[in-house]
Amino acid sequence: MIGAWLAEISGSSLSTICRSFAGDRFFKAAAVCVTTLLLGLFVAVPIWAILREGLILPDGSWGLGNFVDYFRDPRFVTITSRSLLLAFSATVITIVLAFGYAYALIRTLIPLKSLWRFCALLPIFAPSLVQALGIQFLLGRNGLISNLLGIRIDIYGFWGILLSDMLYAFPHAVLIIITALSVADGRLYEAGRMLGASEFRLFWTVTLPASRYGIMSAAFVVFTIVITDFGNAMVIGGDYSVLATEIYNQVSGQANFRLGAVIGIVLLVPAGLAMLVERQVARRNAAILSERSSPLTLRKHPLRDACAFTYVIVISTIILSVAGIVVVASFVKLWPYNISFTLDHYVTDVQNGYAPLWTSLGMAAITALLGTVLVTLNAYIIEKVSHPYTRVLYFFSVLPAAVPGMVLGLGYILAFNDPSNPVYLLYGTVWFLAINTIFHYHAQAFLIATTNIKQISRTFDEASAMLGATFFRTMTRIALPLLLPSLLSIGLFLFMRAMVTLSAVIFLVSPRNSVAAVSVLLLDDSGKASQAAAFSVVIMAVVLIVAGGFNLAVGVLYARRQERILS
Amino acid sequence: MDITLNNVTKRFGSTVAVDAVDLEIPPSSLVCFLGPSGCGKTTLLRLVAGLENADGGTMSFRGRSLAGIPERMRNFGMVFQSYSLFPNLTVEENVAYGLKCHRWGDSDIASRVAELLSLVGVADQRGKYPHMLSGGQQQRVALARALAPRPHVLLLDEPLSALDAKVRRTLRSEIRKLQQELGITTIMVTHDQEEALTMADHVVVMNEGRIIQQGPPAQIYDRPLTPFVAGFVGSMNFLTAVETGEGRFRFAGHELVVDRSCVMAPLKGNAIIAIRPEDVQIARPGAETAHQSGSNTLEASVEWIEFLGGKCLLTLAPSSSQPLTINAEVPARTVHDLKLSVGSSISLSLPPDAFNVYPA
Repeated sequence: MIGAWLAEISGSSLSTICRSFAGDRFFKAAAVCVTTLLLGLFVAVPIWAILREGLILPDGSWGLGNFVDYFRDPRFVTITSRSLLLAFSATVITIVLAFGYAYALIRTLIPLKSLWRFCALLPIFAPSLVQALGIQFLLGRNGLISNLLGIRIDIYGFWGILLSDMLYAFPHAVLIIITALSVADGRLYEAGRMLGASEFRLFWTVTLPASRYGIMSAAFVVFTIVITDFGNAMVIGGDYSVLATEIYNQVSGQANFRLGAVIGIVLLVPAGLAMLVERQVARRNAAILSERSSPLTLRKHPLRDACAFTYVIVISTIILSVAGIVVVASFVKLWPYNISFTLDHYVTDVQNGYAPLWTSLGMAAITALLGTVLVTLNAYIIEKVSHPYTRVLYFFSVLPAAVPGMVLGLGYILAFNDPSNPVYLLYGTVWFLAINTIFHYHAQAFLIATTNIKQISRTFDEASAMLGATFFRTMTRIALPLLLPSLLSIGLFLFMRAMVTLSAVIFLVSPRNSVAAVSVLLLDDSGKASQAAAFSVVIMAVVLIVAGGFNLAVGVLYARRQERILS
Repeated sequence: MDITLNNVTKRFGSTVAVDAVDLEIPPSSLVCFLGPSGCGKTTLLRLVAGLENADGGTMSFRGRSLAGIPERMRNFGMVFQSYSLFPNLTVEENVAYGLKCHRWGDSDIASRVAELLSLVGVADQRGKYPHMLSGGQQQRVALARALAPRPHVLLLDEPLSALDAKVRRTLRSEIRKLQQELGITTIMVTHDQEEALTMADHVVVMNEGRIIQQGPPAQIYDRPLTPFVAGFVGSMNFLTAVETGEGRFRFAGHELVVDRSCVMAPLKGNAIIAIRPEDVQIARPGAETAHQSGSNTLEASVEWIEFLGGKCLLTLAPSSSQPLTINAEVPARTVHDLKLSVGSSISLSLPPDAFNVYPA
């Protein structure tokens, strides 16, 4: 009966209709299966492998014995408390500095804002360890400042890691706080002023409360970045071992996978907690925006603007000088004694020369293309197929945010370095590195995609369905064209991360397929700091050029589409 | 009947959005769901559309059950409040979209799109993107898009509420004419009683998920079944009174005579007497109103005058044992002729056949 009804109602043949009706369900089911398979294989399985490795005792039984042993060893207790101390200190200082910077950019009338914004973002374009490299050139044994002042600063250890991690985490914090400060409701400020509130009181009663979720969110992100960062601690930590470097030492140095996994789980706890809280906080942050808010118009305030201007100049100078010194050092003969110009350091004598750079480029291209498709499909399916099960998929989609790169990398070894596993066929290839990178950064890319999908009004789906469109047609003809600008920005995000990533892939590279950031680490490790600098400069140049070109393209596209979508 | 709803119920969590609704919609008619926001009218429309699934009851179209038929298989055209034109497609592509979904041939699509665009009067906008059109034009395109695949039913979800008053008035009559020309069964949701009264063949007044009254617009306006309908459709004076005899009521120290036909439900002593402001008549104090003599005439003073252009709304305070006011809507001319101002004394009368009486 329904068949006859269907045939009549659409005026075409019965079989076509039944097929497309079934096709709709089939497509959704197939998409959910693919998403399940990928998230299961590349997120759940590696994490499970780490947990299993950490929970299996030397005698083969299961238990927490490994952790008891771990915390009985004073050396590991020291390492754990160091990591926590570093993360806490860096978080507090970075958030204060980043809030000031973001405030200056958003809430004051200083000139050249886009330049200052670019300066703040600069550390994102390089592997994390470039910060440590720069600080070495400035404050290290043969550092510029140490030499000029004729003093010996002991930068290797806590202070070096703290400084370089702060620099590395700074742009992330600034970006989040800028977003929080941008959504000001002008009406509240007008109301406050009409009631006679001073600017100082407005700051404490309106600005800070409105941005508190943004600040908290930024704090948890910085905490996670610092506690999981590997590159800086490796370069400038010296003997000061932290959790992330200790995993590497245990696994790479002593092939002690079990202890590596135990440390990994210890690292997973604070990182996971921080990300969990961050997700909760970020959700609340999104709810603050109401449609009726009116934009805030800034007023001239010479003293405030002068202070803000001085502040951004000071901070930008520090960021630029750390990055700049790496560039300068890469072009001089012997830093800082012989500063005559040379290109010698660009002839890398590490194994394979520049091959890892090309590998990185290829890997980043795959990551960007494949990753954008995968992440967008995941996000679309999870958002549009409303079923309790898709909540499970959502959890595994954002789970990688809580998993430090070192832990994920180790999980990939434990899970896939096994000829009986089908994925082993990919092991050691560029594709394997790309897949690892996609899922390492899956959560962030997924959240960008989800946010953008949510912004497309649900009535477009309904309008499309009412006109007779299948789920697939609505997705390809309506949703994806509208999402195009956001697809490009996800692609760019994944590309940039893939070009500079170190922590997860360091366990997975092979002599044949290594990546650029690993070369920098190896060069620095073998005492060739200037060559490490040169290699870093090449990476930064590639990332900046690609990002610049990309941004230009997205900008053009977005400007054209924005008015269509928002009108 | 084109559409038949039987005991249809929809819950969202613990709230019942649509509560056991029975409804029949005859072919080629325009039916309006009218009610305050949150009354369930939009949910009911979305249930018919297939955008929501009912928790209970049955729905059928021309005798065939709609259960299990997804929205895209129903071929019901829908126009959304926010137009929802696809921003990445041109006007033409938007209108052609549904035809492609229904696998029309290319030449058929081209001629159908041209036909529809000229029908709604936006043929000259065919190559433009939605954001380049005015609100009224966008809504015309949305209408053309919904009508293109020759839908069995047209569903309009507050189609005019995002437009300004003038455009709204023009589109109102255009949609109605188009609907009558095409003879398409149409359901429109609105919270604007004027829109419902002017456009519909049949008005369905809803509140709290239930249908309170349905019927032709004039019947809804003249004989509202409950105080809720009386107050929601048009404006109304409500007087609390006690029945003292057959067709006789006492309110605030006054006797009222009421025609028997005005009593809407059996009374048990107390009653609510409703009368529309435009039915209240006024005259110089002591003089008789044009209407009739003697009964239902009260002395009152003018408390407030609200100028509405051609008409004035008077707030009148009758001399009575308790404070109360009655609104009267009279031609501005009358206010002028009687030289009324705040504090003036007048005499007002309430025609016995102009009431609606409800049990209190």
